[in-house]
Amino acid sequence: MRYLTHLLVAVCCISFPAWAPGGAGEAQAQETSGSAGAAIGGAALGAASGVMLGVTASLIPCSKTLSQLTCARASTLSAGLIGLGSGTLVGAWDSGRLGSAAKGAAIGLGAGAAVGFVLKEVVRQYGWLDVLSTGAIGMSIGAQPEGAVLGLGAGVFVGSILWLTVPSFGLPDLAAAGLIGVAAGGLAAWVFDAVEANATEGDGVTIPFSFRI
Amino acid sequence: MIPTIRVCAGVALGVLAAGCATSAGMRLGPEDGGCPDRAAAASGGAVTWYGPAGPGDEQSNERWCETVGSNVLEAFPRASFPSPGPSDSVAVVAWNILIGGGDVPLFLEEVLGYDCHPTSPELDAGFSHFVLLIQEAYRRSEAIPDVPELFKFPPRIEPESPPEGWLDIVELARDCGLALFYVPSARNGPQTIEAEREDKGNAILSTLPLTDLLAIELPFEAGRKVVVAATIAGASGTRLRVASVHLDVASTLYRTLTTANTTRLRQAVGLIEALALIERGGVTSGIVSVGSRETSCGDLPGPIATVAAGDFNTWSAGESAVDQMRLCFPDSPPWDGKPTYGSFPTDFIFFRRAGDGRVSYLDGSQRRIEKRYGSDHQARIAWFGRSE
Repeated sequence: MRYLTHLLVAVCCISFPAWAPGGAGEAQAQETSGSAGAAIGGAALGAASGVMLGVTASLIPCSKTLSQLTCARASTLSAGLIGLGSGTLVGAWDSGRLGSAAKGAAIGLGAGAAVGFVLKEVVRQYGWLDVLSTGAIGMSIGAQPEGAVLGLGAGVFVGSILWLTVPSFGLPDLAAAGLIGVAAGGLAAWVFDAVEANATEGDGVTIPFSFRI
Repeated sequence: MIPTIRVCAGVALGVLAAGCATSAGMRLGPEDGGCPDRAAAASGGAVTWYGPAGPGDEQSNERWCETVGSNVLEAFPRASFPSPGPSDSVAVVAWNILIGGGDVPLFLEEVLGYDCHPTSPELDAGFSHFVLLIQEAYRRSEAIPDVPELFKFPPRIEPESPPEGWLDIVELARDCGLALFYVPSARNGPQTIEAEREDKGNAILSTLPLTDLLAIELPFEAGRKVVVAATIAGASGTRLRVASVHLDVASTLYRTLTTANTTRLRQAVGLIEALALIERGGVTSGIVSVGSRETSCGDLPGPIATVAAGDFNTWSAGESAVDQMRLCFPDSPPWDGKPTYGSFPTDFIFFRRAGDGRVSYLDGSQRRIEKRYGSDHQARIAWFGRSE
């Protein structure tokens, strides 16, 4: 559990400047080249998106092991770190690309929250935290919609073949394949974005990280 | 862009932080509060209560408990049955009866050879004593509390084509002359103006007297779940504890995300911890981190042979809740690969022998009942008897 606490503190430290007015203003001022503020904003968005993708992908597969929580944490942290790293690089090298991701995340957040609101009205035990949760999942997909949709298609395709050919592969496994596809596609899109941003990199920037653990 | 990032990062950090906090621990006797059953237990009632040690679970269970009526106990069957012989076995059935939609009298007649005619119930020759571990039993009563509409009641479940008469669990036990232990978990729908109020929960129906009665409130996920358990006695002092179990089908999305979907595993761990606590005679179990292989099965084999069976609401037979139960009930019948709710394997019978080894599962006796008898679940049945 300690490593999770450490990571939490590290993510807080990294993303804190993006929450501050100065960092926000600096990131918004950049259009095509990177900046320290945009890098930090990218880190926060990438980490948030990665965490949500990781936890969503882990829900069904990890429920098949007695070390369920450990499994889910590993998936969440790995995906969060991939998002964190990729988001940082995207922000550092191409804040315009980061702006597109943020705009998609905002749309996804709104769409997810709208779905959540409908569920809240229909499902008895659902509350505002569930609206926020569907919004967060929407955000994680909206930040990288092409990758997530392609991943979903690939996951459902592979899952369907397995469902049709392997008797022990049931409907929950098919759903799990779809969710893993969404996560893998979303994370892959973050990595590709970082690679492409590097290819179009301008003068580059210095990223002022500070860790306090 | 930045406000979006702030919201997203906040939620993600929340997920990370809450992911540390899924735990279970059980203790004897939840506070009595305003819940009538607990008040009775606190004043020396026949039922011993166990519940989750966490205050959040306790408060949620308390709120739900206040909306239901008292438990119902008929410890001795009204019909007369022959005493079990030394070589007799007992059939244990696990069945979710969909709020009385399952035709229990017809099931008893066709599967267990028992005609539960109200005036002269009769167990056919050659058939064994039986225990029905029932989920989604329901009871109609004016004694169920009148609760303000502010409470968010679970929606009312009503079978599409209930059997003739549509008896509640109390009427069923009376008409069939069986021993009954029923503990309501939740209301079945909101207030009604003309009809009587209804609650629902787990129950045990038996041809054998029920003793050592236990009500185990599970860690709260989406709704209150109470495992009911009792002990039946065979010939020569053999004893078998039977527990009727119903786990939640799903929690809220927020809880699912922040507890890594450990809903049913946490409830299974709660049950296992409570049984270990009961067998050791303790008051409070340790808080275990669910999903980290910390669960204690107690001393295996334990002091009493135990069957825990029912509707575990699992999506697959390889789910962690099932694996956890198998780990702590190592003498369980093997799963036969057959689903019991559509394509989902939701219903299981788990078993562990006692240290004296006198009661065991009769190998190969477990099977799925093919007819649904009006329920949405198929029942499972297994026989237990003296070890050779």
